[in-house]
Amino acid sequence: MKRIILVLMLVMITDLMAMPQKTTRKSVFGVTSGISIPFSEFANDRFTWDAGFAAPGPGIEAEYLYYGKIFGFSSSVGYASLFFNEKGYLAEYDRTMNGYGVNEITAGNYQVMKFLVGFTLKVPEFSNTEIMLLFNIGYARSIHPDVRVTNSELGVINSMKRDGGGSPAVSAGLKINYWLNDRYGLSLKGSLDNTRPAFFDATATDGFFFMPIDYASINIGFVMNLNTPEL
Amino acid sequence: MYLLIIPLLVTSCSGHRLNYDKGIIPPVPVNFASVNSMHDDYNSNLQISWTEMTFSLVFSSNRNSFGEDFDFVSYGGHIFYDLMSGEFEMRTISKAFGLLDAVNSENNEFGPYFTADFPYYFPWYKEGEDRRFFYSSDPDGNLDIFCCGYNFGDGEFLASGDPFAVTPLNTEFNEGYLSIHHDAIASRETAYFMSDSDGSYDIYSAVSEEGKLISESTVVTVARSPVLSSSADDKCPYITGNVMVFASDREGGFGGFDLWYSVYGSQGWSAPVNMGDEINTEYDEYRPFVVPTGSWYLNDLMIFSSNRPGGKGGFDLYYVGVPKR
Repeated sequence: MKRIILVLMLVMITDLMAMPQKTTRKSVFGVTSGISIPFSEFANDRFTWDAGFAAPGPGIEAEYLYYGKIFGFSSSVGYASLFFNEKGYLAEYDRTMNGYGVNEITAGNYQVMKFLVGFTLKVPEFSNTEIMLLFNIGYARSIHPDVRVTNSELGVINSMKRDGGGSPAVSAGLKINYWLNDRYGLSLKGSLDNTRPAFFDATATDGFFFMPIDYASINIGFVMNLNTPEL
Repeated sequence: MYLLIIPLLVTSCSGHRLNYDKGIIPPVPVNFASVNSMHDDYNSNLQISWTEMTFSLVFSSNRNSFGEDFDFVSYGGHIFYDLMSGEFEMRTISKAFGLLDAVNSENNEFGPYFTADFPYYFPWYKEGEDRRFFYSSDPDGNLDIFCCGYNFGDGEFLASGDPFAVTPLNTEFNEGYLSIHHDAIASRETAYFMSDSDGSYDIYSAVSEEGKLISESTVVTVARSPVLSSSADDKCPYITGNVMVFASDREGGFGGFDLWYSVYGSQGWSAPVNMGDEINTEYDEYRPFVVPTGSWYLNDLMIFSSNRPGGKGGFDLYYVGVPKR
């Protein structure tokens, strides 16, 4: 994956040097929504050190991009609500408690609100289609859900109150715009997001912990070119 | 690319979410395999420091005589509990104590009981506390209760004086398994032990002279406990706080000797309650003792012995988590 991105970047930079941008710049606003899918340790459903027990959930994103033929500025505000994998969490308690008592779990959702800025590299438009890579950094405000685990024989065996934490965020994505006309178009976007907030937990050894939050988003929506003469 | 890397480095610190608020000792019995042998291993007592998660275990075994007489053997160890995975483990290494060299004999030694908590890392922190080691032995063919003072030095229990019989408690019958009931009566020491002086084994209380310890008293008030005793054999009482655990083959059990408990309240000892089929089996369960875990664990630690199948042979030691009572 990294190698492909590097090759694409190299091609685009070469293209950039060989073909200076024309003045046909676009100022694009877009809104997309879709699904956010956790991966890596965030999605792990075993009792490992950083297991997040996160499950896919809905996401929405608003973007503003300003770009020329192959290079430009990008920014976005996104929100994702990822479910807590209660079934997987319960299975781990049943396993580690050797079936002693009946375990019950109540948990809310993970939530991530991200504010990103960065740049985009794209191939020149062809057949009303734009393909662009997005590289963004910024800030994410994440919320860890309420989690409460009870055992019928022992009572509450794990509890954590809902808490929010802010941290730097990075994102890389691939976006495809298909312009229906000069002003409106459809957009398909896939991105990989990472942030690592700290959450307070009164029962944790140090009173807080870090959680690596990694998720992929696949969104579809529309884009609008704000730079058309009519506007 | 550096712009992407820097935020990742900034946030790469330690700290992980825990899946358990407190430790949980396995609520179903676990064979204490690291200390058991193919011979009989039972009658244990364990001194533990929860702050350091270290312990010393003493129990009776006939391993050294290949099945003949019982002597005390000892282990040191660490307790591990992973609040992430919920795994509990008691790791041990064989460790000799000078105290046991003083009390072990060619006779049988049973029912070890330490009066003091496990010493802290700094031994002088608890200088001057009451340190007596009670046990039973049968030099005359029947079990009698003995006592030996001890100190803690160089990482081991050392005898401070010679063992002596607690004469006011001993008879021509079998007495053993003394356990102190702390603060039961002001200015007197109360202990419980087993005796078969009435034919079957029963649980007796003993109250010292005023201002004296049981082991110092020349006259001790001894009485059979009608609540704790039955027409069957009731043996091996052990008191932690206000809870007594003991072994009995009375009716209402699951077969052989079962483990029972009773709680001491304003009305005295409650009617004994069987500890249930998670712990008891149709085989023998014997000499339980409970170690309070304070705020570290959701349940208390109990160690007992059993000859149930699946062990290493004969009686084996098992540990299990029991509800705090």
